[in-house]
Amino acid sequence: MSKDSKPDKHPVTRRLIACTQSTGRVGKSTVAEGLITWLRFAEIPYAAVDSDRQHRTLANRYPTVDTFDATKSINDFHTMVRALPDFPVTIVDFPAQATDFLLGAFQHFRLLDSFEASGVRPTLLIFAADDSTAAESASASARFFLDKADYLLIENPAKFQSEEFKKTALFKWLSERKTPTIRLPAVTEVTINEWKSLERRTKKYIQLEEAIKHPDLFYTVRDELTYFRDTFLAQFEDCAVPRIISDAALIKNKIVRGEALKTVPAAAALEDPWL
Amino acid sequence: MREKPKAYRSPLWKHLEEIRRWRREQETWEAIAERLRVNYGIVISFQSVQSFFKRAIDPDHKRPLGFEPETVTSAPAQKLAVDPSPVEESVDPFSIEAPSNPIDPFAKSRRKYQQENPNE
Repeated sequence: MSKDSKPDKHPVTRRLIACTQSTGRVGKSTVAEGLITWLRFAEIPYAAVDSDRQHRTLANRYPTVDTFDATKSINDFHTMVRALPDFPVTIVDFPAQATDFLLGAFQHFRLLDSFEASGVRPTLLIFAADDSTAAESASASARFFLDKADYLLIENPAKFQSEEFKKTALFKWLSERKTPTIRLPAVTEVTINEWKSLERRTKKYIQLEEAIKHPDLFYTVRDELTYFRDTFLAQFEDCAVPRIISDAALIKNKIVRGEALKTVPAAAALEDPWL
Repeated sequence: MREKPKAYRSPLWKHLEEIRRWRREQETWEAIAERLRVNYGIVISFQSVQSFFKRAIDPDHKRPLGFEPETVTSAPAQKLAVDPSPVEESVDPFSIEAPSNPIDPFAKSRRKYQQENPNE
């Protein structure tokens, strides 16, 4: 191959999963947490970085998640890209309002081409929110990445509505690419408050897996969190190949599906944001 | 009678570089103390972390014999005589070369994987 010619296309072996949308309080870290929960459950090697220094939701809950703000400067972004590990999945939880920086950085380093050449493929989380900033940044991200990335649509009815988003050309474009939708099941405020209260009492952050088994939480709280986790696990497992991992053989542990997970989450009424 | 305190027993010494890195990431001392608690189970006030760090990086701080920074320790004269290799970058106070970036944003993930798969 001559020095000037582009490197050959490499089969996808690694996934970089992130959200480049400018959205706050839509559940970005919750989705990342759900994804980590599934990767751990399925025993798939992964790396995760919490790049949101302001909230650090992931790093606080998961001591093995690194904290590194790759959006602080172009140098920091470069440092992160250079250090991308060989794990099949790398999750980066970027802060909100970083779309312009991230797309600029990808452009600066011609990352789409070099990723393609080295077998790294991005999977972008697109939050299907009606909010104009969220929708515009989703559009900018898709316009930039086009078919050099895969997408996962996220609906979180407890946090935002998606009716208007579903009427857009972007939604149609994503649908044409058979983009799967991850729908976050609702969790009542009582459960969230009790979980947070337990964290305050014990003075430590409690992971979802830990909360589900915690004897100090009321059984309804544990059951609701279990349902939340299982719904997450089932949805991620369903769309895992090829959007989260490239090879189904990487899944060492599959979930056992009871009646509740064979159908669409049954708690639709609970997901009414005005409840 | 109370035992005389031994030098350099602080559990923070093991995490000095990490504390330095967090600090350079503009973490507050409260946040660093919290991370020490969450990551390593070290329960310590943020004031103590701050004073430890101040002490640890102070070049004028008198250290007990045997605990001088290793870079200051002079090499045996005999070795210098037979191996006149150039002075290492980190020792040269007049070096104008930019240090290579030692930060690994994925350090914990790699460490975790190595611990779980020691043979790989």
